[in-house]
Amino acid sequence: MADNNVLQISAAVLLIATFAVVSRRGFMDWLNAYRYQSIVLAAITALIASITGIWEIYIAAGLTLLIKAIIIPKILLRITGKLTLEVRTEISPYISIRASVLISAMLVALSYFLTQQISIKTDSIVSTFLPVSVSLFLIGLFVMVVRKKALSQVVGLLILENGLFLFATALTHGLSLVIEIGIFVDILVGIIISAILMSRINYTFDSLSVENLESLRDD
Amino acid sequence: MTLDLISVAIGIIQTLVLVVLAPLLTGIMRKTKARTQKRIGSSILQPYYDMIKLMKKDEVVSESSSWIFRASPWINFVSVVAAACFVPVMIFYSPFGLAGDLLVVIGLFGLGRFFTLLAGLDVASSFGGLGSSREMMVSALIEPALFITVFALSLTLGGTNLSTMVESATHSTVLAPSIIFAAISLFIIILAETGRLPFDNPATHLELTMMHEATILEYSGKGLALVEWSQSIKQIVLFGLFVNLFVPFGISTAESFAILGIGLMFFVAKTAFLSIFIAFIETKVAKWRLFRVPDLISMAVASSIIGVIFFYLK
Amino acid sequence: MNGNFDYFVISLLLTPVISGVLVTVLRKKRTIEVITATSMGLVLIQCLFLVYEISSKKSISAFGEFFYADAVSAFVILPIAGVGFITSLYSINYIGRQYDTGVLDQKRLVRYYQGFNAFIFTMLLVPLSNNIGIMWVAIEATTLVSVLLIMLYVKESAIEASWKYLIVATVGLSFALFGIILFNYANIGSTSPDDATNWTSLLRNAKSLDPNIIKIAFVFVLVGLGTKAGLAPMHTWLPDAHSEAPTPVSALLSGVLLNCAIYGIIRFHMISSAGMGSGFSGELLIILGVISMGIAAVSIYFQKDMKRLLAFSSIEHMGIISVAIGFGGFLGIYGGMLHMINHSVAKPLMFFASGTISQKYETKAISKIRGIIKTMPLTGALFLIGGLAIIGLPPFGIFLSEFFVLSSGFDNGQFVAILFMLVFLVVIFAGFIKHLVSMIFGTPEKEMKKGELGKLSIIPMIILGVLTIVLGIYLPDHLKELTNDASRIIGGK
Repeated sequence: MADNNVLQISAAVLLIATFAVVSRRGFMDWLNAYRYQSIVLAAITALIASITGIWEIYIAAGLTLLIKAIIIPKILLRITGKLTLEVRTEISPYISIRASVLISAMLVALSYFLTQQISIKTDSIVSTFLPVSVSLFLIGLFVMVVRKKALSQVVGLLILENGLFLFATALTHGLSLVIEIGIFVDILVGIIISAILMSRINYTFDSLSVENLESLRDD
Repeated sequence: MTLDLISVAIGIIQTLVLVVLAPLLTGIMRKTKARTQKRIGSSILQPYYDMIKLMKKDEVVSESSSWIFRASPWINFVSVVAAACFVPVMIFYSPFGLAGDLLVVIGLFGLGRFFTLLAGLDVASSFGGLGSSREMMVSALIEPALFITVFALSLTLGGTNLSTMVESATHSTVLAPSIIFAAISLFIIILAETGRLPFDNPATHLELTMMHEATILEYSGKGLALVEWSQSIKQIVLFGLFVNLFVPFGISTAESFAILGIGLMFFVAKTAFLSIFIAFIETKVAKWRLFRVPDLISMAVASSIIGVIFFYLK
Repeated sequence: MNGNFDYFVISLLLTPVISGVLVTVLRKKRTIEVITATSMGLVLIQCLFLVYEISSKKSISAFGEFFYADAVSAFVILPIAGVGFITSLYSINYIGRQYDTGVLDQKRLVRYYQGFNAFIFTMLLVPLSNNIGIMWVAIEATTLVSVLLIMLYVKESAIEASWKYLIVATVGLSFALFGIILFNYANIGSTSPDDATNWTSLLRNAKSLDPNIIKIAFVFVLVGLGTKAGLAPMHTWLPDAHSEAPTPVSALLSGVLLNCAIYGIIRFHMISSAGMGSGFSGELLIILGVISMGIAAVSIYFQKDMKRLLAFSSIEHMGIISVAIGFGGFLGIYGGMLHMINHSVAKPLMFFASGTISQKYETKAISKIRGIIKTMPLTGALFLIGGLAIIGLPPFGIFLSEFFVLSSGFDNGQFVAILFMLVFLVVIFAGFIKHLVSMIFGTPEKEMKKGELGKLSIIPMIILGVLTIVLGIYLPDHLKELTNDASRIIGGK
């Protein structure tokens, strides 16, 4: 029971960190929230490792901490440090902040509903983290869709990816270590590439709004 | 929990504690804010001095006002004191709890606020009207958040009766996630209800953006003293509710004087800590634009919804 | 099933890696061109040997079951090696010309060849890996590498295309990973955790997997890999990326990368059909395929940009392959696999020709290109051959494979799908012919110097052109046998 409670509270903390991203406009706030989210994620991963007793998961937790909580924020900071404040803040998203917070809460509800529909084994790790991971996935997707800045899309992608990682860890106790490392490398390289692209977008268009990126189309 | 003499006495003491300590809390918050802003600030007893001074002064009442303006401070005061009766302070129950629950407390606050708003409109000054309309907007927006929060709380703690709720909060050894989310949501609601930053700046009489202060701008003398007092009682009641629901640690469970005394000390310490915490937050944030206020409230709503979800998860 | 292939697979995978490292170190234009072309030649030789082994041994595996390849993989390995080699030859001319005219500087030239080698490496990993997780990692890596190749040019449209590609493909692949995790979960009860992500083990246990989970998982994988394969409505990145990439990269993207994604879909389709019959996944594939053809048909008819025209044609052909797999049956899959090969031959030819044309005319707008046959007779003729092949005219290979696909649809009674397909094919035919005729014939708008753009731009095209014609008339026995095998494997017997 107490164990179960620890799981639930960690899931709650993870959701709170996610909402910090949804409810903020400034990129620094997102980055901090993402960092907290990753730290909580690493803690949860370590928790799952200690419950299941699989040592590979400890390594995955360590990698999460190293790559997602330290390296990726550093990379994004380096790129965005040069940008002006106006470029870094989400001024007018397609859906207002308050509506997105409410919609995200609905998405959490939706993911609980969805995961209850699937008949999946009911151990406490799965039943606690599966819905949370799906909601991270959905919220990440949502953030990517409704925000205009390239930066927010990247942050949405990172949330989404955290959701996937939690999903894999909770459901199957992680894919095998080789794959996990491969995925981490992919994320890292992807972030580096997106950082380069973002600085180019900013250099070329003098803004980070993806609205500039709508010239290629078939009329 | 029969309605015997001792418990009635305890209930009356609890209410008195709230009513008497209320201005002290305001004083503590002002002092904290002053110190965090590198000012020395006035004594924490200053609200008492202010009230005594105001009591001695004459009242100036606008000629264009009606009875509402004069009656409103009294109605306000009575309703918040009545609300204070239902709130457990140092022991986990309130003997008057048989007569009312959390919803009654909310209703009584609503009554008081309603008359304050009417009074603000009654004097026909432009500031009063502005303040009233803004406060109405915030209170209308806060309503859904409040009700979902109450819903989450009553689900988790077994009912809306405050005594039952505090009791089950005392007895549960583990911290449920739904409680965490409800706490976040209730915290935001308390900030809005007591008119703290970033919703409203309680320390101003000058800004065009003020809300609560604008509605009571026309009061003076005894009326003002009453209004200020009831505002601080409302504040301590909400703080007390918050600490006793979410941090029931140290509340006494037996009816002996020693334990009650310890319970009282814990209560004072916890509320004081909460108010210092809020004062710190107030130093850190600026007042938000009125149209950004819904952002914060939507966070409260979201948080309470997730609280409810977490309850059903178990 | 012997361990002899361990070294072989390692050497095959290491060839592009080593060549990429050499490119990074040596940096001289002529040297890195030769290195890349040589390594692609080596890759081609090794791949031919590998495919030969596959056709005689039916399947090979290395490092236990970490790497695995059978006839289905061969249909991806062959295009990677073949198109990779020919593209490396074409690059020497195309990229070299851009270097000479100052479009690309030394740094970008090196980056191009690094990316080229890395791209081939990641693509080779896809059909060879038995582990669905590694396959995902490889496919995601192809995205990242190809984004780097597309953003070689620093101009607005290239930045836009690469950003869209990166975001859309990565999100899509996240869906695929979601599905892959579910597949893994479904299999985890039946076998050891290390084995659970192996494709072969999934196929062995297919019957005992929970059908509900497999259904959800397949939908996610289909959305994810479908994004990468350019199936509508997830195709939005494809025309942009293909039209803005350097031409050799467009050829690789279209002729090879799409096959890798389709390959992934086929693998999961096999698991799903082995478990609960091909009905569920087959229907989905048919629907997505027909939608893709429809969207491609409309866009092709009203197209103004030459490279986007070719990109949409790729969407159409991926749609046809998807429909073919969906129809199933021996004939349908036979046609689908052949179509993959035929498309991989004809589409790079078209891209090469269009690259040469746009270098000559300095535009990609269809309306500004006139009279290719007069200015560049050889390129024009090859462009015409490619165009006629791509719209499925006899005697070219695509006609044959499309015919197989349609007739298997008739066999299965999929008349609605067939009807739609025929309508779309006619529209595409009309649209393509319209554009093709206007570009190839007519008189050039301004006076142009007659002449081709160098031997190395023509030779790759001639090789591909000859292959296009040959494959339509004569199928080598080995290829026929491979197609038979693949068709049997996918068909479940």
